Amino acid sequence: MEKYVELQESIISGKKDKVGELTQRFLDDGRPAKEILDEGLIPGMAVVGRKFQEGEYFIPEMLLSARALNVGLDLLKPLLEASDVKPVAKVLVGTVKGDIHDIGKNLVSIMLRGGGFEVIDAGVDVSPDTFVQMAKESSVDIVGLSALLTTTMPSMQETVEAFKSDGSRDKIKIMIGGAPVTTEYAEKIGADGYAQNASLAIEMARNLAGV
Amino acid sequence: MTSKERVHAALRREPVDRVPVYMWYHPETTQQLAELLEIPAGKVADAMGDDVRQKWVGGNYAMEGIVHDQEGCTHTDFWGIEWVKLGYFNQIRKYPLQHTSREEILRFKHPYDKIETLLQQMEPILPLGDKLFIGCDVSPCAFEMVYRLCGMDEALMNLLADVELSKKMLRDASGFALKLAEMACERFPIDWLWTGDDVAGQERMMMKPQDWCDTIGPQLAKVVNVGKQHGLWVAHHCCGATRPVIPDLIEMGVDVLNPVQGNCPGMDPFELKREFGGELSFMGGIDTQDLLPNGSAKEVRRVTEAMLEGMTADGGGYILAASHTIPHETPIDNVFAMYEAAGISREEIFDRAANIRNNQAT
Repeated sequence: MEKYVELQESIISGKKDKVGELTQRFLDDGRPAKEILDEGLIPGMAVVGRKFQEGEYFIPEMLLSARALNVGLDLLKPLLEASDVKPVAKVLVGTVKGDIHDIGKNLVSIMLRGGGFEVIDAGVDVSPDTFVQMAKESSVDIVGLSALLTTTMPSMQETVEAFKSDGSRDKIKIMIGGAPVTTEYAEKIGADGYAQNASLAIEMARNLAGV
Repeated sequence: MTSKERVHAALRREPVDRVPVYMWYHPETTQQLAELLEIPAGKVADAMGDDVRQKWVGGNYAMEGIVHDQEGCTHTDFWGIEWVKLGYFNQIRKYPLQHTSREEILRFKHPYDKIETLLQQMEPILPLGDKLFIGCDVSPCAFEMVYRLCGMDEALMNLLADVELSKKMLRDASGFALKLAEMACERFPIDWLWTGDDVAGQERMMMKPQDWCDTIGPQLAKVVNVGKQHGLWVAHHCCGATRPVIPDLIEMGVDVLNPVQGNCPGMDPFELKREFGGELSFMGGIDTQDLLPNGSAKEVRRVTEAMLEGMTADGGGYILAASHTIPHETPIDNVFAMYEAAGISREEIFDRAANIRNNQAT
């Protein structure tokens, strides 16, 4: 919708103050929070993802857009919750045990939030049991595991196994990513999917969420 | 030919008896080799026949130079960065300037009073310099130091959102590396100055190449220039897809690029050799993300042989190394396969290990 173009552009150019100002103005004008999200913030972030995928944007641009998005989301969140608007899906993300590299994981979180997912960030060096416990507590639909090191990739398999042992594996989807990770590895350890970068992670999450 | 002569000759594209070797090992890989060769971990490079000895005198000392016994042990370095031992390496747990005010960032001072202490780390390797090629590593030189201080997100966003602050932090970080480099070059008879600044990921650079040129490149150039002014080779380490700025690195005087991750876009070693080999030497290229941990010894030998042939097609300009630290899940036979391809046999390595044991016994 044309009236949201400026909000979309503010997301795309990472202007957080402008995003806050415009989001508040739309709310003051009585626009529904869901409409502002679906027609302003999410389309803006979609452009950011595309620009990243196409090589026009790099990580700083993406981070600035994410920071701007969060300003808008913070204003909308209480209203979305009050009107019982559900996110696309709930995703738990974390870097697996033994690994504290979080750039990739954070970028995936950014893109997922920008795509209308609710993201719960378990942080780094997350043990398989913690993943299982947090997934249960928050009733997530998808779990995203990240690893940068070849030495910590086995933690991904252990996490998949932990969900199996717990009996909750069939209730969630597991996607994995990180520099040494491949589709073959995802298949080998019994994960549901692999995404090569943050922009493709959102497509994978949509597929897994069935949207 | 001594190791020292060998590396210098290779970098000058002059004939060598074999290609020089400089491997980086995961501490556990070193331990496995030490046990197999029945020598102390500190002697593994001697037994393997590596040609370069180098010490971190910059911030990297805090990352890999300090080795804790126990997982979870921590230390705070001279910059106030808190490190925790996690999976063999120390990783940052607390960034001293993260979530602080702009004023506090502007007030931050690098630990110039610790330079003497940092430089002292060179002393154990200096006596080896008559035969071995000696390096001094002053990295991280610019951006990597900034993100260790304020965290990656803030460091990256500031490149665009607060250019003035970003440039000041980069200037301060490179200023410290420059001082270390100057003192090291003046004081020690080193063969190369090792610089480093990680700014690239698996698929591309973290920031736009043009933004790197506008902000980070000029600061890095000052450090590189110190080595050039002292008539030394200058090596530069940056992981990942660094292709877009290789011409800039060459222009600022970098002689050797490491670690050449061939599985990153634009980083095919043979392409790089064709395009930049006239002006740039390479160190690295043997894949640590898949080939070394997962391949067979036969494959490793084949890939290494092809690498040696392709990368020395003009008579040199290549130092054999893995594309980073050799991970500990690498079968030891794969490690030997790389050395065998370079003409260093397993027997020769075991013989040297036996000599090391004998020398220690007497």
